[in-house]
Amino acid sequence: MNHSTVPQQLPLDLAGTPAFSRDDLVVTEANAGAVSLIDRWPDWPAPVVVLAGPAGSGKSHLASIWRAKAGASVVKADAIEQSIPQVREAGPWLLDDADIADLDQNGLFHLINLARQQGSHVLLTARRFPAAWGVTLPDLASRLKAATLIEIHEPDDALLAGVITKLFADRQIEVEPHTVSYIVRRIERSLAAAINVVERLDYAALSQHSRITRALAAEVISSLDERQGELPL
Amino acid sequence: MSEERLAPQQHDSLEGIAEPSETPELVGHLEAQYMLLAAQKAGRLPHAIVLAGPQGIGKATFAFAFARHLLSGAEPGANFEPVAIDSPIYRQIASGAHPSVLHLTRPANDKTKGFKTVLSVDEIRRIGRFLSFTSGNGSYRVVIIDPADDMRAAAANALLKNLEEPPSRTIFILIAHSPGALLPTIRSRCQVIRLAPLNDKDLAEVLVRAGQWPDDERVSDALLARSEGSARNAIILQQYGGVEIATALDALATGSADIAASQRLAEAVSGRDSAIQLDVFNGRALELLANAAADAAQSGDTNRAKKLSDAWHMARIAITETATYNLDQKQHALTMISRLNTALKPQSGRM
Amino acid sequence: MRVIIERSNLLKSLNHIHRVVERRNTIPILSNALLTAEGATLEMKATDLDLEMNEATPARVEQAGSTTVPAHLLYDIVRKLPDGAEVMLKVDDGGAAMSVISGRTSFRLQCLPASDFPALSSGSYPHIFRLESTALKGLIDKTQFAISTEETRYYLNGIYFHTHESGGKLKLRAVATDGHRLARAEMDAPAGSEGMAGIIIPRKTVSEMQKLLDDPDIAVTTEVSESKIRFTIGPVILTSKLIDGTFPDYQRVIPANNDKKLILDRQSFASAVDRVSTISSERGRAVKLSIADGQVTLAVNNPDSGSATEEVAADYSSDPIEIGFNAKYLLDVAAQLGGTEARFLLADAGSPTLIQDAADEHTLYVLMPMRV
Repeated sequence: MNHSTVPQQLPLDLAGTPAFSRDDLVVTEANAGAVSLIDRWPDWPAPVVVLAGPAGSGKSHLASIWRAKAGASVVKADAIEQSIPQVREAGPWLLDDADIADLDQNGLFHLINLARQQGSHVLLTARRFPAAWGVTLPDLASRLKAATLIEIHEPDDALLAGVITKLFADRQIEVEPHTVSYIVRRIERSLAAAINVVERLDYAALSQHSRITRALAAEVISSLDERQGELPL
Repeated sequence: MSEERLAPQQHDSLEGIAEPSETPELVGHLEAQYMLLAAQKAGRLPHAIVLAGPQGIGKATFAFAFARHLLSGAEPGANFEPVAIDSPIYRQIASGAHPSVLHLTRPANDKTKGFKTVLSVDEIRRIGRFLSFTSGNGSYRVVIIDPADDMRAAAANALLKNLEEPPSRTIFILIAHSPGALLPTIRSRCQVIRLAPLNDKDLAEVLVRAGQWPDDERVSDALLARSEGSARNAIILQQYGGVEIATALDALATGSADIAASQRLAEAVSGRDSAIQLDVFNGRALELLANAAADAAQSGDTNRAKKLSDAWHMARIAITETATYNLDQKQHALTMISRLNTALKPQSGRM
Repeated sequence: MRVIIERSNLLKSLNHIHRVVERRNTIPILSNALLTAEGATLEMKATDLDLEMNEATPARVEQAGSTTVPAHLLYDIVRKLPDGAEVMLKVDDGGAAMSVISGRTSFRLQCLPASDFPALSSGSYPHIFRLESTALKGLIDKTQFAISTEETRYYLNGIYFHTHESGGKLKLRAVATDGHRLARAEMDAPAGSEGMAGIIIPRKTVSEMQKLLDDPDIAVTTEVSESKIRFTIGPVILTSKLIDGTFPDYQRVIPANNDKKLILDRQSFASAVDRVSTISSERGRAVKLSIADGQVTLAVNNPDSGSATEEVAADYSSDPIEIGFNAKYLLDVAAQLGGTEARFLLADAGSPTLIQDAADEHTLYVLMPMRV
C-alpha cells in the first residue's frame, strides 16, 4: 500500500471550537419553524414544546442556543426525578433525546407539572413526535398531547452549504462556492457529517500545506467512505 | 480640466478624456447618493453594491466619488463629500496608489501590449491579499470591480468567495452594464442600485466639463438625441466619426449591395487604431438587428422575429470571437455587413 | 530641490529602501521613491502600499524641496558611481526631471509629483515602547522560520506579537506557526506595551526588520495601533499594515504534560540528522528517532535509493519510544537553539513534542511528528 510507505506530516491542532451562537445560525426552510420558536421565547404557546427531527438536523444545536438564551437547566431523560430537587428553583428546563426507551416517565410528568405551576417551560428534543415514544403513563400521555410540536427537517442543500461555509469561516478560511456545493452533494445529509468533513478537510490541508480545493475535498470524502466500510468486527 | 493625467490607461480609455477615477465632479445620480448617505448615517451601509445601468452614464465616476467620500471620513451630508483635486486622497485614488482602494479592471496583456479581453481570475485573487491586511488607518477598504460584466465564471466564483464572509469596514462596488448577466448568487449578496441614463441637462453638463460640447447647436441637439443619456456614447459619436459609421452602416444594411462602400466602411473600422470605431460598428449592427426583431415581433411576424433574433445571437458570437481570437477585423466587418443585408432584407413571398 | 550628499550615505539609504519597491508595478508612482530635502537631511521613502520605509541621511541642502524618481533606477545609478564621490541631486525648474550629477557623470530621471506619493504614516498610535535592537531581533530571529507561506491561512503569514502574563510578570511574546511547527519567544514586556492588543506582523515586514536590526545597540521605538505598526530604528522608520485576522489560540498546542525527557548535544545531533537525511527523498524527508536508554538511533529509509542510520549518545531514562520527524524541521529548530544542549519533551509518536535550549527558558519550539 502506497499510503503506509509515504510518511505523513501530522498538523498541530490549531482550530478552535466552532462558534455556535444565535448569530452563527444558518436559517433555511428546513429549520425556519424551529428557529422562529427559539427566537420567540418566552412568548411560547404552551409550557411544553417538543422539537422533533431526524439525526443530524440540528436539534441539539438549536436547543443549546435556546438553553443559553433562556438560562435553562439540563435534565437527563432517564433520571429526571433525581435531578428535580436540584433544579426545582431554576426556571426553564431542557431535556434532550426524550424518545429513549428508558425515559423517566414519572419524572417527566412531575417536571411538566412543575413548569405549569411556575409558568415556566420545558423544551424536549426527540427524533419522533410523542405519539411514537411508547409512553405508558396515561397522565403523561395526555400532558404531551397538549404540547406544542415543532418539526425540524433533514437539512436541505442550502442549510448544509451555509453551515459548511460558516464552519470554514470560523477557521478563517475562505472556500470557493463550487467546492462547498461539491461537498454538499457528496456527504450524508446531516450537520454532524458537515462538521466532520470540515474538520477533516482542514486537517488534510494543514498537513499538506495546501489550499482547500475540490480535488482535496474529493480525496477526503473518499477516504471517509472507505473508513465507513471498515467495521471493527 | 487640467491637461495632467493621473490615472493609468484602461482597455476602454478614450483619448483625451479623463478616466472616472480622475473625474472630480459627479453629475446627477442624486437619489442614489442620497440613499447611500442615508444608509451610512444609519450605520447600515451594505457591504456590497452593484451599480447597474447602461455604459457611459457615470457608474464608475459614481463609484470613485463614493470611495473618496468614504475615505475622507466626512459625516454623511446631502451629497458625497467633495474632495479637492490637489488633496492626497484625490490624487492617490486617481493614480491607483491609495492603500485602501483596490480597482480591478481588465489587466494589461504583456504579449499584445494591449489589454486582456476579460477581468481574469488572477485579478480577482488580488482581493484576498488586499483584505488580509488592515486598512492602515482604520478606514474603509474599497474594492471596485470595473465592470463585473468582464468576469467569466471562474472569476465570478472567486469573487463570490470574497463576498460570502466579508470583513468589517469593507465595501465592494460592482459596476454592471447588464446586471441581468451577473451570477444570481453574486446579485443576491449585493444591494443593486440602478443608475438612470443622464437627462439632457446633466449630459450636457458632463460634456461641457469634459470639453466635448459642440459649438454648433444643431450638432449638439443631434448628439443629445442619439446618445441615449450616455456621455461615453456622445463622445464616441463626436470624436471617432461614430455618426458617419452608423449612418454608412444603416445605408449598407438596408440598401442594395455596394461593394466599394462596404470595403470603405470595413477599412475604416479595422486596424490597430480603430478599436473604438469597430465598437461603434458592432454596437450599431447589434442595434439594427435587435430593433428589427422587436418591430417584427410587434407586428406579429414571429417567424421573422425569430430569424432576426437568431441573427443577433450569431452576430454577437462573431463579435466575441473576433476579439478573443484576434481574427481579421476587416473580414469580420465585411461578413457582418452582408449578414445584416441578408437578415434585414424585406421578406419575399408570403407567410 | 537641490542637495549634495556623499555617495556612501546615499547608497546606504537606498540599499534599505529600494527593497520595499516591487520590481513590476503597473502604477507608476509605486515604482518611485519620495525624496525630501529639508534642513540638513535628505529623506527618502518607498512603499508597496502595505509597508513603507523612510530613512533620513545627512546632506547639504542648497534648496529645500521634494520629488519622486524611480527607486530601482536611482539605486542602480548610485551603486555604479565611484566610491567616495559626492552626488548632487537637482530638480529642474519645471519639476519634470531630476538630475543626478557626480563628477563628470550626469543622469536625468523623470519625476512624478511628490503630492501623489501614498502615505501610510498618518494616524495615532496608542501604544509606544522601546526595546534594545538585540532583544527585538532575538524575538524575530527565533520565530521567523516558522511563519507559514501558504496563503489560504493568511493569519499565519506573520509573527503574532502580544503581551502575556506569566509567573506574575508581563511578557512580550512573539509566536509563529505554519501548522507543523510552532516557535515562541518571549522577554519582559517593556513599559508602554501593557494593554496592547495582539497583532500579526506580516512576513515581508518581518524580513525587512531582520535586515535593519543588524546594527547592535540601537534603541528601537515601537508604536502600535489596531491597524498599523511603526518601528523607528535609528534613522529608519518602518511603517506597516498588519494582518487582519485572528491568530489561533496557540497555547492549546503547547504540550504541558510531556514526561519523556531527552537531552542531546545539539551540534552532534544536528550533524547526524543532516548526514542521514542525505538519503531521504524529496517527497518525505522523514527521519525516525528510536530513543532508548542513553541513546538515540536516527534512521532514514528511502525505498528508491537505500537507507541510513546513525547512533547519537543521549541523556534519556524513560520508556523507549519511536517517533518520526521531518528532517528539515529538526535542522531548522537545531539551528535556532543557541546553546550546547537541546532538551526534548516527548509524549508519543502522534503528539506534539516540545523542544528547548536547555539553558534558555524564554524560547520554546513545538514540533508535530510525522507518521512513519
